[in-house]
Amino acid sequence: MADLVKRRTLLAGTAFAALAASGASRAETPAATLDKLAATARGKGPIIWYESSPTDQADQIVAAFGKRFQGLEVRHQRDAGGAGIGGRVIQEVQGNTRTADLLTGSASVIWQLVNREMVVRQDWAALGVAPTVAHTPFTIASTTAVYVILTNRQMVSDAEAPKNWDDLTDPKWRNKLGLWIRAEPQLSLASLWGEQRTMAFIEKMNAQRPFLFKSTFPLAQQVAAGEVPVGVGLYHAALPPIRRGAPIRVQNTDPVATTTLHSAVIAQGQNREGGLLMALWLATPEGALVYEKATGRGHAGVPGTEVQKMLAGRTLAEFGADKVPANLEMFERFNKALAAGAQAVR
Amino acid sequence: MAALPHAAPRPPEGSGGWGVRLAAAAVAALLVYLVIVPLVLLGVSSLRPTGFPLEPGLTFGNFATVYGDPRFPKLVGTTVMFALGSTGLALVFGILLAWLIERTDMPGRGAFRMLVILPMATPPVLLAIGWAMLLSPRTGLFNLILMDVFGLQSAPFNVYTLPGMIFVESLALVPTAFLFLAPAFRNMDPNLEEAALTSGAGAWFMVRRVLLPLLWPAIAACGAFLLIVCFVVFDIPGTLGMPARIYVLSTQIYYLTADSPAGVPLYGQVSALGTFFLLILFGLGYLYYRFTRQSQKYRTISGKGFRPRLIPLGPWRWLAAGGVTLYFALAVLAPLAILVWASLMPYQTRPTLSSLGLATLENHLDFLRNARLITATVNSLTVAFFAATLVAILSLVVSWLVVRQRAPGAQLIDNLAFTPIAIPGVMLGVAMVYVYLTLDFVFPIYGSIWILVVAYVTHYLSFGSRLANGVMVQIHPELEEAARASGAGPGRVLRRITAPLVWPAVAAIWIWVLAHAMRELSTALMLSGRENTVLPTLLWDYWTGGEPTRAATVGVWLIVALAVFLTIWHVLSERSANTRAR
Repeated sequence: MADLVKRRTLLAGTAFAALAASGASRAETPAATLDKLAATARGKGPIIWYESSPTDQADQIVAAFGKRFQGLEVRHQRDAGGAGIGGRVIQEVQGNTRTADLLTGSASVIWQLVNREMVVRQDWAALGVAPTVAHTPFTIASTTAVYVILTNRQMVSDAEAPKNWDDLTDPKWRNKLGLWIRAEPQLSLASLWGEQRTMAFIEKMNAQRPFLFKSTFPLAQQVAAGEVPVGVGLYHAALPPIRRGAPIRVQNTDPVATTTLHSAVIAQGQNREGGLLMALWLATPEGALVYEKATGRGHAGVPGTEVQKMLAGRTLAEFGADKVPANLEMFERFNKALAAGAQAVR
Repeated sequence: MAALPHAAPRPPEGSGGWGVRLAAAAVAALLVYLVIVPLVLLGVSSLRPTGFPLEPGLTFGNFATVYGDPRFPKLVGTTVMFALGSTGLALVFGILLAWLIERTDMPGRGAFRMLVILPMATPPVLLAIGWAMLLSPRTGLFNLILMDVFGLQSAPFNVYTLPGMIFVESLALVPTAFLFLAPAFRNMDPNLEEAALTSGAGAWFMVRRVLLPLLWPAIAACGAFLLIVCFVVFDIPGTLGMPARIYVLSTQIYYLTADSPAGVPLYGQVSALGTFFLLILFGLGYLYYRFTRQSQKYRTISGKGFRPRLIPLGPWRWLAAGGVTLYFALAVLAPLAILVWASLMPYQTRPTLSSLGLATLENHLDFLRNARLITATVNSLTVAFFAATLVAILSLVVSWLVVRQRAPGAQLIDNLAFTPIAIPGVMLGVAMVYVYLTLDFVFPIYGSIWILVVAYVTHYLSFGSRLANGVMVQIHPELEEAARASGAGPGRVLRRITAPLVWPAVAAIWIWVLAHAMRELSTALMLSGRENTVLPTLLWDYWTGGEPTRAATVGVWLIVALAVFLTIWHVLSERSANTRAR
């Protein structure tokens, strides 16, 4: 993929690495690196950050960032649609107008931008980032979305609540199951199960005639309301109703399907240093904890986060960011099967 | 596209000289910019391999992908069934209501005339959410009551079906149908009915041979208009159809834009699908033109005064009033009540006595003190105000050029003004993004509230110009002729004679656009940025972000505000009708 990267993008990345390394060795503490970047980022305008969290939640992260790095302003732009966030950057870059400095989203979205030479290549090691967090030269992991089974406590007893993936295919959940319209958890499971077994699982789930939701946030609400007594959703999406007293039971699975959201610095951004700073800060214990507290989504690669404790000792199912390009077609097949499934069995 | 509406006596074609010609040229140029430029960009997008208009390559692959998909015929079939079903049901309700309110002695007609348009104050997405809470198969309140009362084992209704979607969509469309049809019923010359009755015709014969032929053009025009709306509407199919995988063309476009598996919107396929959409809608637009042209011929309102004969219903009058009340309860009170309930809950839960203990005003207090909500409210009002004002002015000018002046290029101007009705909001939003990103150095409005104003002006001009045309043809040109004979130029005639005469209609356009711009969602979603959040996008944000109770709260306040606007509109419309009648 490196051959696709435009020369100026490479140069930009090299400049950041040089900045990080200047006057310090690679053993330099991340805090010093961050402070150097902050000094460069000041005076380059606000940092534009495209991400999917509700604005109320993002405001908390932005406030904490502003407190840590005085004089830097972050402007968060929400796009919950998933695909729209990448499309917006492409349009803005091609329209030669101000675009994001940092994008946090799924690897499949970021890879579309990488293919268009819109992401800065980074030397993460020079920036003091562990390779377990930065899987590719273009992405750094920012947060981990964890899929869980949600059940309505008032409608489904502890004994009969599904405990694992195969339990969801029990015919008693026919017409009572809610799923996300995107086959993200299925794609993650395919990293362990392979495409054939995963597709068979999707077909079994289709036989249940599940309801498909645009996002797992309303799915969790509908589990709370009893509209779908059982659902497969994201843990953090279930937290708001749970905190308000909704009767939602959360069941971890084995393996645990996860989707890591990555951050990428946009090559055409006006304040790329600020974007990089934000990305690096989100991967520090301080930033990860702020993000987790605000959104309920933690960083599995950062010690001390709740999600890291939650996932400890479990088998995780997810393709690395570097595998995304090879799996895009499989993802599309899963999505099509999911979208067509109910009609096929009716 | 079609011929111009036939007007009452008109000035000679091409009158007005250079002033009119210049005005016509300026308006035509503006309309080309507003309407044609976005359509051209969509055309380019459909031929790009990636769908992004500014990326290289040329292909017909997007058309092959879309039209070669084995699911495409089913998609079209579902769309047609949804559109025909919703239109048919809305027409039945609309005709019945218009007849009862305008032509019978049903008690409370004045109040019903105002109440019947109130569903327009409910954003369709909220109507869908409300009905999902009432008729969902597991937790819907009505289903639970019916199961409890009749001891049923399963829910009798399921709103997440095609019939459910049609039912809710038709409820949303009934006010529009009523507004189209009520004047036709109201303005019918009773002499024709009386002549039929005195000739010994029975009631059914009179309906079949007198009323229906007289009303047919208005009903057909209304049907064509509603069909167009049903083909492009997103909110209700998106809320009720997508969870059950019932796709129509507009939701398929949204799916390809927002949830495409590729990671970025598949604009190429969206645009390719959109061309099919446009062909259908232009066809319907042509029909609409034909029917409205017919309706001008059948117009019976004239200088002579008359009052329509009211048909006595006898003992059925109270039953009729009960039926209209039931409609009002279903279309407004029931969904509004369930939304009020949801707004008082900490999380979404079914209405039960035990849930009452959870009730809290927290969501409403949050609404009143949340800075984002205040900003969104100010943005909504600003956008709606400017969009409504510009549409009203532009509609008046377009109509004046087309109907009164018969300016050169009047046909083109009229067609351009009507074309945006055939562009789905999602597609219009996509096109606008490209137009204003490309022209950012000239018009830096991308991401601001002004791009919404431009989009809404484009979108609602079709309605405004239709209404203005309709009023303009009814005003006899004698006064204008007298002014011209006294030496007044076209501009002065417009300012001093025509504009004051059509003022009530212009005010009606203004309020209608204001109310619709306040609740518009699909275009606003495509154009949303941090600086231009409006109430509907905030509501959608809350709904998709898992905060339905906050969404319901925003919705309740929005409905209240829109209800006030619509009441004002109704009063102005009535005044307009009375003025014309005089």
